[in-house]
Order: sequence, then C-alpha cells, then structure tokens
Amino acid sequence: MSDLLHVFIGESRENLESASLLLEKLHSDGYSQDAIDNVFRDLHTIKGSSDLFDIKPLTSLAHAAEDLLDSLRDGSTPLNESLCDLLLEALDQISNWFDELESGSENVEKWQPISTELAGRIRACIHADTDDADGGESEQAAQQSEASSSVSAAPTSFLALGSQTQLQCIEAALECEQPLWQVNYTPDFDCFFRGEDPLTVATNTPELIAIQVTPSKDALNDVFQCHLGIVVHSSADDTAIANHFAYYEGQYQRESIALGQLVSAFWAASEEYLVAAEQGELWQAYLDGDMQHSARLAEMVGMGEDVTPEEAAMCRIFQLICQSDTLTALLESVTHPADNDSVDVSADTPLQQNQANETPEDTGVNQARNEILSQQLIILQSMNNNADSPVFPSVKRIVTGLLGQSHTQGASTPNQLANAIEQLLNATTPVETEDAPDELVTPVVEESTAAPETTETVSETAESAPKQERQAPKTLKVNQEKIDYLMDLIGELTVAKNSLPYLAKQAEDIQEGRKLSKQIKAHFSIVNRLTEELQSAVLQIRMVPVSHVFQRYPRLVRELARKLNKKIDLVMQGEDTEFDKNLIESLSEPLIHLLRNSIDHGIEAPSDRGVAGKSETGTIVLSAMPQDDNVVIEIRDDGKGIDAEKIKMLAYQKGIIQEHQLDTLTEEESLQLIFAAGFSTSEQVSDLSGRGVGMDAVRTMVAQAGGTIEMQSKVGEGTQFKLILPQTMSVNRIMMFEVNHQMFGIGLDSVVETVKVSQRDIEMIRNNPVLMLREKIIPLHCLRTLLQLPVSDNESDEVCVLVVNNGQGDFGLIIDKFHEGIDVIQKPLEGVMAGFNHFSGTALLGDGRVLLIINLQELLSCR
Amino acid sequence: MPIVAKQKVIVLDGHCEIDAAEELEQWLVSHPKGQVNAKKLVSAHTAVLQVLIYHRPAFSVWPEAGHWQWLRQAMTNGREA
Repeated sequence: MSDLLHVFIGESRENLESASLLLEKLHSDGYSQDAIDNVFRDLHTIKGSSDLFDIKPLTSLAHAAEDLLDSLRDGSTPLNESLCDLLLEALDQISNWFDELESGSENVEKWQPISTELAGRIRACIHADTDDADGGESEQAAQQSEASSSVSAAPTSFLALGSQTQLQCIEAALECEQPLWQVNYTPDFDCFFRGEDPLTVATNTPELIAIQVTPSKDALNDVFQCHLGIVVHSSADDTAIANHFAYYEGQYQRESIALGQLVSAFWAASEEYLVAAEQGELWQAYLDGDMQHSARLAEMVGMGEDVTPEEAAMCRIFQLICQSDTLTALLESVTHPADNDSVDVSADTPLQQNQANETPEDTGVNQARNEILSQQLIILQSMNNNADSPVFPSVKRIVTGLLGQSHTQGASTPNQLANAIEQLLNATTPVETEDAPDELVTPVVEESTAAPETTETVSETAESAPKQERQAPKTLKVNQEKIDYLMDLIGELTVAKNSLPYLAKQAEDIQEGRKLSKQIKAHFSIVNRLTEELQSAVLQIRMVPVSHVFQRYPRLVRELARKLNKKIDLVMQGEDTEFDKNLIESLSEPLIHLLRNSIDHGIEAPSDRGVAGKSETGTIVLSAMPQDDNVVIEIRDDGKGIDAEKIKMLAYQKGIIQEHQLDTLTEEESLQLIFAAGFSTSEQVSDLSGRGVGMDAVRTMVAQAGGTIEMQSKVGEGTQFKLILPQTMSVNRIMMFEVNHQMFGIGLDSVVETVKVSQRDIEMIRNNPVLMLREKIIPLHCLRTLLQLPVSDNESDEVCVLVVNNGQGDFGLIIDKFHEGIDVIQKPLEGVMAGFNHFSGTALLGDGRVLLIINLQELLSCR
Repeated sequence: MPIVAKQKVIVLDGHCEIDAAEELEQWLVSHPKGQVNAKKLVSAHTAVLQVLIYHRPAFSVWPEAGHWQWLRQAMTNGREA
C-alpha cells in the first residue's frame, strides 16, 4: 500500500467516524444545520481525496452521499430516519472498502455493482416526493421540499437553453421522474492526439436530450487542438452517465437538475411572453386558479399562426404546468416565492429589516429568499449586461418583489441589479451566506471545507483568530507501529534493568565487591525509576477512551431492536475511561456479542414487559470505570434474567455436566455454565445470537486480553455481565517462584498471600489435600503434579504454599521456593509451545533465563 | 472521398475523419463566402465540426440523416443547441 493511500485511509477513517457520530446525533436529536454541514464536509473530504486513487466506485458512492447531504443542507430534501440509516449504510460500505484496501484484498470491479445500487438508492431520495417522509407530515414536507427545490439555482448554461430544448428537458424529467443530468464536458486541447472524438462521445450520450457546443476561443489557430465547451443534458441515470464518460475523467463534471430548477429557468425566460399572451387572459386564468382553462388557452395560443416555434414551446410547457399539480406547485413557488412562508413580500420590506428581530422561521424565509436572489444573480450574470434581454424585466420584477422598490429603483442594467443583489447577499449573515449556492460564495465554502471546525461568521472569525490559535489541539499523528516499536524497546530496557540486581549479587561474591554491589543497587534504583516513568509515558500514548469502541453500539442496538420489534434504550456511562488501544480493539467483538445476547435473549418484547409490570422500553446500561489497574466494563439489562435451574437442565441435556452435579451445583455455579463450550439457551437459533458458541468465545477473548468475566442474573430483574480487564496489557507484574529448580512466574494480581506451613497442617478431605488457614479451607494443588514434574526429594517438613485466587475462590499451590516480584513484558508462546495452554506466556529474565508464566485458570481446570 | 472542394461549395460526404479538418479549414479561409453541402454527411470527427463551428459557413444543404440540430444552433449563435 502506498504511503499516500495509507494517509488517505487514516484521515478518511476519522472523517467516517465523525460523520457516523453526527448522523447518530441527527437520528436521535433531529435536524441540526451544523451537524448536516459537518457530515457534508466529512463526505466531501473523503470524496475529494478518493479521486486521487483508482477507486471510482468508492468515489461515486461518496459523491452520491454528498449530493444527498447537500440537498438535506439546502432543505430540498427533508431529513428522516431512513435517510440517516441510508447514509450510515453508505459509510459502513466505505469503511468496509477501506478494510479491503488496507489488507490489499480489494477487488474494485466487485465494488462497482454495490456502489451503483447504493448510490442509486441514495440518489432516489434526493428531492424525493412524499414517499419517504413520515406520516402526517408527509404532505407538508413534500410541499416544502418541492418549493425549496424549485428555488435552487439552475446551472447557468441551462438558463440559456431555448424554450424548445427546455420543453424537451421538462418532458423528459416528468417522464423519468428523476432529476436530469447536466454534463459539462471540456475536452483537453490535445485530446485529438489521444484518438478522442469528444462530439461523437457527447452525441452518443445515453438518453440524450440536448447538446450545447460553445467555442472557447475567438479564433481557431490549430485545427488539431480542441477548443470547445460541450454541455450535455441527459435523463439517463448517474451510473449510465458515469460509465459513458468513464474514459474522460477529469475532462467533465456532472450535476443534477431537479424539476424545480427546470421550471424556474423556464419561467425566467418565458414570463414576459406568457403574462402578455392573449391580452393577459392566459395569465389571468392561471391567477384565478382555473388550471383547465389555462391549459386550454395555452394550447390554443401555441397553435396560433403567427407563433414562433420558441413561443409554441413556451405555451406547451405552460400547458404542461397547468395540467400537472407538481409543476403548478413549483411554478407557484417561483412566481410567489415568499407566499409559501406566509410573508408579505408585496410590501416594501427590505432584507435587512427582517433580520432585526429574527426568529427561526425568519431564518428559513431569509434562506429561501437568498436562494431566489442567488438564482436571479446567476441569470443576470448570464445576460452579459444586456438590458434589452427579454428576461431582464421579469428578473427585476422578482427582485423588486423581494427587496422593495428602494433597492432596485436605480438599477437599469443587469449589472447594476446584480451589484445590488450582491451587496445585499454579502450584508446578510454569513451563516446564511454559507448556505447559498456555491457559485456565489465559493471562497467561504472552500474555507469551511478546509477547516471543518470553522463555523463562525466572517467577522467573528477575524476576532476569534487568536483564540482559535490557543485552542488548537496539539495533536501529533503517529503510526501505531512506531509506538509499538517504542514499547518493545522499553521492554528490552526493562529486561536490561532487571539484570542489574544479578550483577549486584555477583559483585557481592567477589572480594571487595560489597561496595560495588551497593553502587550497582543505587544505580539500579535510578534506572528503575526512569524505566517506570518511560513505560508509563509510552503506555499513556496508547491509551484511548473507551468511547472509541462504545460509539459503535447505539446504532447496533437501535438496528437490532428494530429488527426484533423491541424498544431498547442504551445508556452509556464512563466513556472517557482510558484503555490501551490494542485492548480496546480486542474488546469490541466480545462486547458486541454480549449486547446482542442482551437484546435477543435478555430484553423482552414490549407486550411481555407490559405483562411483567415493566415499562415497554427496556434499558441496557453499558458502563466503563477504572478500578485500580483494571477497567471494569459492565453490561446490565433489565430483561427477563437467566433461570439457573433451566441452565442446569440444559447443560445436563447437552452433556456438559453429569447427573450428580444437578444437585450439587449452586445457583451461582449453574449460571457460569453459559460460558461452557457448546452451550446455548436459545431454543431457536437466530441470526443474532444463539449459535451456542457465543459466551464461550466471549470468555476466551476476554481471557486472551488478560481479563476475566463475571455474570450475575436474577429471573425477572435482569442480567449483568462484568468484564474486568487490565488497563494495559504491556507490562505485567509477576511473582516468581521455583519448582524443581526451575523458575516460574504467576501474575501478581492473582496472588493472595504466600505461606510456609508444616506438612502436618495439610489435611485430607475426600482424598484431596486442604489447608486450614485462618479458619478457611484452602484446597491445595501440588504444582509438581500438575506440571508432571518429578516428585520432590526434599525431606524438609516445611511446605511453601502460594495462595492464589482465580476468580472463583482461593486455592493453594504447593511450590518449592518463593522468589521476588518482577516487571516483565510478557510475550506469547510461539511455535510448538503455542499449544501449551497452561502457560500464558514467557518473559526474559535479567540473567538471560526464560521465565514461564503460569496460566492459573487453565492449570486449575486440568486438575 | 469524404470531402470534395468545388468552386463555391465544399461537399462533405459519408464519414469525415480528422484529416479532413485541415483541408476544410484551408478551403473556408480561402473562400470566406463559400458554402457547405453536407447532404450525404453521416458522421464527422470533432476536429471537422469544430472548424465549422468556428468559421460558421452557410450550409447549402444540411445532412439528410441524423440529428444535427445542435450543430445548427452552435453555428447560428455559438451558444445553444
């Protein structure tokens, strides 16, 4: 993988993460302009950067998501839950592709159909009608959506289309019921030398509606250089367009044009003619709301003898508008833009006046007005300051209607009017300016894209610049491998440090060595302190808050709950608790499993909960809290709990326990049976959980991370899983001991105490040795026997007992000799040794010997 | 022969490849009022069409087959098709 791709994936993952979080927030808290803007910027960044690599399906999917966000941003598509889910699905897909890119297993050809399908679904939601909107609000939302889409600016080149072509476009858009595509194709000047034939490409565009060709120079100096600008309109879908122009990447851009934009452009060009047609009778019929009459009149006018083809097309479009409710609503929003917001624009109410005491509703009105103004500005700019243009009077009328006479009185040319609009738009608050179409405020938008955190107004930005400088997080991005390498080096240093006490001991043995030994020991304490500090500093680098893992779960819970028709609240606590990054990643899977179990088996269906006297919505609490050197992660639900008796019976049926254990097992012990291999309580295997490998796998994964798992449950009240994990897995404090002249280690966490007892104190209960220690029975195990080492020839009466706790109680291990505690970097067993589960790993001692570290759980289960 | 220059008219015929562009350009420069007969023109390379768009010669006959409305528009106002 190239360095550039590596950086791209790293950065894009951050964008994905932040976008996912914001989408979750939008999902739960509802619409927020800031959040949408930020998600848009994240997607925009991913799309932009991905274009550097040959991963077109990813780029087009990101592009589709970006387009949807853009339409959410300008309000032309209403936000709802399904849109959030769709966007999250797209983010997941992109994340999966990143995984493939990272592992080098990507197959971009296979991505294409996935991208096409998903992008198609996303695009279908852009400017979608009532279908996606929720319940009773649907109609209103759709109207708003249509109204808004109608006022967004149409591309300049589209405005220049003649009425005949506009008619074709509107007919095509009505027929295909989706936005049209405009492709702005600017062939490279040397494209002929590559065998390209741009106009043939353009004329062969699928579902072609119109082509515009413009010479881009005054004169042609070299016939073998291409100096043309080509604009193509098509009703084909995005994929077909992308495929058709696939070989011309970088030479073309495509943008969608919604029906509202088509109507808006049509009206700008045709208003004067239509208002005056048939002595104003046509327009009056329309104003009276008699659409049938208007349509008939329009048809009649269009068939007149002295009507030009252009005028006939205008009449035909107007006829179509009168016959279609959708088109009528769109035209209504163009002709009476502010009526939709119940604002009287006939009065002389300049824009700034309305801003004085602005309510949220006013902000919406102003945004709509700004967009209309922006559109008029584009039309004006396309007129080349020609005051005789037939479009100019109608534009001036719209602007006067919006701003009042005082603002447009002096403007007698398109440029003067454009200046007046520009001044007003610049004077409005930058928050609104940012929402205006890109053409107007490109520098502002670019700036915000480059610095996602910058949402302040222009004036505020200037004032708060020093403040921002202070607040800029001083974060350094470092490849994790480098930190791991540093960690390895510290491990080596720890081993080297551990050798100093050996040297001190050896120095004592030589003549006059005592002084040297003392010096070495003094030196050791300094090196020891430095190593420990270095260790903790580097460990700190690897610490990340558990929220990194937790933040994925709200969505998982929501999706699973919906799938199972359950109502579940996920409450997360202690997300700031820090954890070693490697550990956190290994935690993700077991936690998902436990959550799935809680959702699937724990929380009851709403009706059952009602019967049990609980609230319909179940609660799952996911919490993390530091406890000494460990972190305790708890998953608690208020579901139906686990019936210990049922577990016991099932375990017996599955052959996990023997018949006699049915009576002897306590409730606590029975519950632990769910961790046994091959155990599943679900009578029906579902696709969520219940495959019978779950809890066993969870326990194994937790144990591999050096942790333990505990479970408590009460029937009818709920279940609680507690994962106790070391905060960091890098440095272990080990207690050393000797058996059969060989050194072994055991995690100091599990050591309760060390005692030396007489042989006589060891008693036998049911043929098993036990030790009575302060009125407590401690079962004893001889480590020699467990490790199958030769029997001791030591005749001493004294026995060394290492009392340990494995989470289920205290046990005594009979060993030969105690040694000191030591910090080690534990290394996993490799090769043939990897199969020896009774050792959890090895460590290198200061004198070069290898220390085998005992896996207590495994060892005691072998007894 | 896809391009045949006559006294006042240049005839475009069949499929005009890129190399016809140079001849067409030279002819149009030397015959500013010359006309184009494209009756049997089926297709033409962009380079050929580009010469027509830049020089905007009058057409004595438009092609019989195909959709050339966009070219007519591009040549009349240089903007729209």
